[in-house]
Amino acid sequence: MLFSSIPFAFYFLPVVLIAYFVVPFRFKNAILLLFSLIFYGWGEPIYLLLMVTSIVMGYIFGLLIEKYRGTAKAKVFVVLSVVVSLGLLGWFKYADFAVSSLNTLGLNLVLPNVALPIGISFYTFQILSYTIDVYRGDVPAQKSIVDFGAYVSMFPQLIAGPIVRYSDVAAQLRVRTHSLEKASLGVRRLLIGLGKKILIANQLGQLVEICRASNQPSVVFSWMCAVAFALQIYFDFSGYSDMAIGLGKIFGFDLMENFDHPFMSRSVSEFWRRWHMSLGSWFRDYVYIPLGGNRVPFARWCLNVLVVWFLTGLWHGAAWNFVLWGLYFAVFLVLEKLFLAKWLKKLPGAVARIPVLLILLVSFVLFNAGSLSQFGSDVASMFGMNGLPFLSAQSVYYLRSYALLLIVAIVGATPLVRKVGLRLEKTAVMTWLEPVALCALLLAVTAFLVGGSFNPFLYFRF
Amino acid sequence: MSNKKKALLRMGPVVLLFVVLSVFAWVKPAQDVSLAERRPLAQMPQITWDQLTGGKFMTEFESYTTDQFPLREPFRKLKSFIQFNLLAQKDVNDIYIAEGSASKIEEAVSDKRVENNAQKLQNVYESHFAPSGSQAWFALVPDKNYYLAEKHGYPGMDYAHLLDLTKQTMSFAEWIDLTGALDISDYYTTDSHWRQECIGDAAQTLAEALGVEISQEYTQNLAREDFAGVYAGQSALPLPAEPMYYLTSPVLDGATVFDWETGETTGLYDMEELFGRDPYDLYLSGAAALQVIENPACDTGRELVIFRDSFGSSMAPLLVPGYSKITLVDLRYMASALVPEYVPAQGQDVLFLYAPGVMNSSNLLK
Repeated sequence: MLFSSIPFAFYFLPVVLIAYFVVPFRFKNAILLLFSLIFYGWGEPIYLLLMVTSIVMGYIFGLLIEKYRGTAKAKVFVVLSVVVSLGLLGWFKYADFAVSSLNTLGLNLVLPNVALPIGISFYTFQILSYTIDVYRGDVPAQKSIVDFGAYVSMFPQLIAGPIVRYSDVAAQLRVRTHSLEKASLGVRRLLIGLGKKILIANQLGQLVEICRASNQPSVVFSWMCAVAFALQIYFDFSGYSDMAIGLGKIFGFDLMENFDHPFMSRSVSEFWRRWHMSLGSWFRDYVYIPLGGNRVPFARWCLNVLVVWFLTGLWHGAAWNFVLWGLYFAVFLVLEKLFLAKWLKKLPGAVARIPVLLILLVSFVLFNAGSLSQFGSDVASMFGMNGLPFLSAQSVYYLRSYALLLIVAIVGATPLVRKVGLRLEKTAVMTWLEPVALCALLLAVTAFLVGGSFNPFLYFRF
Repeated sequence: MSNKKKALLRMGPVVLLFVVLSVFAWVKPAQDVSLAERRPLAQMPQITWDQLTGGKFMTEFESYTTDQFPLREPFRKLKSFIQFNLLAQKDVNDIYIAEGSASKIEEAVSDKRVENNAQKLQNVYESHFAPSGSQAWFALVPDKNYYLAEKHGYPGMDYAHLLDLTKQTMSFAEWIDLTGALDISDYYTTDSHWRQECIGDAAQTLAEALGVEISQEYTQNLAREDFAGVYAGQSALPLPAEPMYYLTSPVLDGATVFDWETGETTGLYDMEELFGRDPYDLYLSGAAALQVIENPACDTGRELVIFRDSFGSSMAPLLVPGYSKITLVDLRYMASALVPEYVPAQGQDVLFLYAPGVMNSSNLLK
């Protein structure tokens, strides 16, 4: 079920909210678990079994690791937990990719044709962080399978993150406060997220589709496509994170922030501290630092970076363009360590962002490419290397048609809106203006949902 | 103001609005059709084990809840208003407004598709009608984009190329140029079609080429004051409704239409359709695979076969005075292989009358 759908917003959510708030606190996690399973099973009921299996195994492994803490058995169980979790992820997400890749080497293996269960990358990483943290002694094992199940399957962040660490919500699973203040901030955040997804990301998605399907390609069209896609994926994914954080607040949880205006970064490393922060910190804590982090010789550090970014790319999708996307960032991170960071620091703020934005735009062209040849062709088109005209009648038309949306999206990707919002929040007029604006936002997103707007969800493939 | 009060003020109105919409969505009775969109609305799917486990129920439930959402039309209009007026997008669902008239952005010309369609028409003519001594004519109906798209900077077909291409591929038929007989004011502002009361010049151009006399004194009758065409419904833009007329004369009043599918014989105009899903179906009862118009007032015995799309419905009545019998064939609903069986070749005049969108379509003509 998508957050940006009528069934979720006006059928599922009201029922969950009523059920959640009428039961006493001790049953709230059970209600969350129950409705999260319904939410998960809505689209693909068959994968409920996988979800329940993952929960039960994570729960049992946690208890066993704690029981045998300090002994070799604990190590065996944590390794088993990692192998089973990654095994399930590997089979359901990467089996087809692995087989088709092997087949390109001359083998003739039969494709298993495994369908990708929604959100498997997110909840697998949550379970992994839990069992590893229990093994490390950072958190005690969860004794209640209901609470553990609620943590793993919690619908606000189930399909698009943020990747919530058990250590961040363990206390909140036991005790959390529900207040009008928190809920009102949650409602506001939820609506902002819906607005980002439906009013901006989906509209930009239409522009991307138009650019890609155009029979009058041009250099300007290629740039428009690249910019629109980069903004689309930002507003899509950060919009989902806003919705998750907002819903979390309504249910009394404080989930971690996942985005911090990433396109304002002055370096690639800064970008990854601002983009999908929960994934970046997960790889840092569970892969990069265990590999030695940056306290190793330079050559080893380069290898660590390559491993981490190979995995980051692979996490995003079972295709070579995603792997290359990860490695592309690894190359720039190494270059930044060698000289690029110093060079960028010398540039004035706004100028320093230009090469970084260019690197990011090209990266998203790779991200969006169906194949490597498509990527090559797209980049060649952007730089006028395949004989395309600079402008075409269609590109002029669609540039004019989407100009305002692109401007809104570009401004919205900067901290300007937040700054203005914070300044206005302290004024008396905002007290009355905010509820009106939120009602208008609810009506606008409902109108786009009812009008059957273009509604892809880019992160489903993860 | 306390934080609690502030929170209540922030959240109260929007939560109230959310509750009202949710309750309304749960209790509102389902409607069968959307007249504005001219389509049936999705209904509540059956709850069965197979539907649930296969995920079909969920997909259909989403369609149902979206289609049946309360205040659907006002919400569709709000969406269009936001896109068109606030975001300044130049079209909504590919529909744009220029010179006060709505039109839909068309696909670019595909030589292959045009050639395929022309080949189908040529096959029908040369294998069936030509041996009986029939002569063929071809007229491309200039659609609204012909007059609006390029002039106002909207993407569309390259009409010069399309005209050249159709002339070339339809060379078995004599070309009739209708572009000079029409202008944008001859079309409905809310619909794709031309207005019957405005296409006298185009009908005369066809008649002259065909070599028949059709001059008549027509009475212009008001069919509906508030016609809202297909573009009004599809775009949900605030396009004002417009009057719809139909032309009558003693000759036209005496003509009959036989529909091969229904087996019914009616007049040229079907008043029952005026308040149906598409009021344009007033003309010859709308889309039909095969119809025959008989004109008892014409004793020349001359016959015409029109291979047509929806534009032909309002044009054919104006050609009636020149013929004893007009057969209308719509190859979108009838396979071309069936034509010899139902339309015997008897040396009739054969007119191919198609809009650019049909000639440029893939697999629309059977």
